[in-house]
Amino acid sequence: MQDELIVNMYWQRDENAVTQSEIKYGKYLRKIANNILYDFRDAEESVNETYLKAWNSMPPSKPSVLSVYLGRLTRQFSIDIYRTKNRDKRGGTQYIDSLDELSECVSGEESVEAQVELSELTGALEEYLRSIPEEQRVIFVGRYYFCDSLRDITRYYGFSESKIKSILYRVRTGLKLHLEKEGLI
Amino acid sequence: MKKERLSDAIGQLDDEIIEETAQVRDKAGSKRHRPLAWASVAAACAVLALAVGLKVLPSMFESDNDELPYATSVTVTSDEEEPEITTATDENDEPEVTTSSDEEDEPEELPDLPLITPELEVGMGFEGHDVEDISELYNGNPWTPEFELDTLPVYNNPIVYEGEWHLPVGADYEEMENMLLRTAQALGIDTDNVTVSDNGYSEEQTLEIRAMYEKVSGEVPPDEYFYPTMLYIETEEYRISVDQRLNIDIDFTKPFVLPDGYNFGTSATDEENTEAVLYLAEKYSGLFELMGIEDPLVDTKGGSAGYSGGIACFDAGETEIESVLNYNFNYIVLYDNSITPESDLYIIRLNNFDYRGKLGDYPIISSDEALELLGEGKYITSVARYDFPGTEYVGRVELIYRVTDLEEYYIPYYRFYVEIPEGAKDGKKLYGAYYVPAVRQEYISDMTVWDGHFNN
Repeated sequence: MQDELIVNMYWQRDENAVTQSEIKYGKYLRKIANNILYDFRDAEESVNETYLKAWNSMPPSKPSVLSVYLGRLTRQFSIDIYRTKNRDKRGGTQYIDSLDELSECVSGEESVEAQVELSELTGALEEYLRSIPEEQRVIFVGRYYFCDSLRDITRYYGFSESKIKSILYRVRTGLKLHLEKEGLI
Repeated sequence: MKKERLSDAIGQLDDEIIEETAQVRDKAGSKRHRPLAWASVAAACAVLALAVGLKVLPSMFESDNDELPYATSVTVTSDEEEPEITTATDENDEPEVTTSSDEEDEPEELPDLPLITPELEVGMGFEGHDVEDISELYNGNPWTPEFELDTLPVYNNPIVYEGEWHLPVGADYEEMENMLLRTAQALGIDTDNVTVSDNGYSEEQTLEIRAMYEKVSGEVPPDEYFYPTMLYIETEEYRISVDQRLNIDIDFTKPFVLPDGYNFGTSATDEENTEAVLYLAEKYSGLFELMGIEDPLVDTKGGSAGYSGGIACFDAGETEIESVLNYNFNYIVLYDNSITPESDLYIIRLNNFDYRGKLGDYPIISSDEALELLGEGKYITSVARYDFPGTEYVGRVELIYRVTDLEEYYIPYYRFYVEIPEGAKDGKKLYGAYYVPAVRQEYISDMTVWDGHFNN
């Protein structure tokens, strides 16, 4: 079913919208949730929260790309669940691994001067990502937005793990320089 | 700044950036179109024969040596037309010829059939089940270990994704329309007075999209990009759609409320659901006839795909093979609107398989033989984060086909539910699903892709 039709069903308060969302995007959302949570029960909770939020937010929201809209909700819910349940003892989650890698780009301290509006940080990030080649951008987003494992990325990008690691390192280094230049770190 | 803050900012990235990556991931999730290995086997054998000075080789199809596919004489690597040939060699660079130690064993004649490669489905979810007891893991699968099956068919997925734009190929629009109209007729709709629409792009949209792509990337999508992927009919009562795999969705504009006395849906018991489905089979007899369901069996778990909230129904078939195929490929799923208190039907899905892509009838192994392979680690699973605990923890086995959009071939598997003590939680046991191909190993190539990892 086309996204537009599913979104219209949400707007018409047709419960079938949730079923259709699950049929079309359930697997995609669970993949995101599993990457972050590494626990299928929590992942289910996150996906269910996603549908509830989608139900409550449409209307007024009218996303043009439903997969991105739902995926963003799942990512956020999964991270919230992770933080709420303080899962630092849980090993293996790609979210924690990717966070550790991101620590190379930041100072690690949250001083008052260093506090930056999230929107400003996102803007700088987007500016940097748009300035780099597509393959680097896709791999970065795959790793740090979707929290895909290196193995997953090799599957969908076709490069070896070592090449993926090398690209990610270069992009992180470039990002750090960019954020420094913008006075954000 | 803390790393979490940066992660949060990444979570706010523009849709366009996220979608770009999502599309790459999605393409990889779709199946890759790979030439069949069969065509390459003869060439590979010829090359191999030349390489060893035309020494006599055992035919890989005539050996009863279970180790042969792993030894290996011919493997076909993914996405390459030329097979990679590896010979087990001795000092004289001659192929190692393994023969059965039991001289009384007659070499078994196996039919020449294409080699098949089990395809990993990227994004497959964690297939583990929390239950108090294995008896909770039941479904309507008609197969039992007592079935006497020597062969089972393997099918090509009829729709493949090809080219730089990764567009679906293989749709039969005439058959799609035919199936759509037959479904409408089965619902009593006068098809002379309906309009068949599609979800393809209008001329105006096509021009806009072409212009946008040209501007952004300098490339223009091929004509196939704009072809529809679905046809549909809308009436006052229904919206009926058919996809490229000939599956039908019937969405009710107003749910059909079952008469008093019937209870249907996730809150109903298995017996109540069975009774309700049999009632609906009479009410919508045209659809059941269309699907060839004369002797209905009800699966309260939603069929082999396990559609949540749906109750499946398939024909018992006249033979064991028919029963297996109907359960896996040809069935109706009925959905109750679980949000309302009434028992009301609001979606009917017809899983209507196109059997034309049959590769052949493949000799299969028994569930006991599959259990041995399981113990040897020759399985795929999405619960690989846990160590395989051992075959003594197998709680249940069933024979199923994995039928998803992403599988390149539809292959029968034995699915073992294995208790994973390490995953027990809150007084419940964790059972993980482990798959072993039911097709004899002589026909399986590229076992190296079986790394057992789907998600990590």
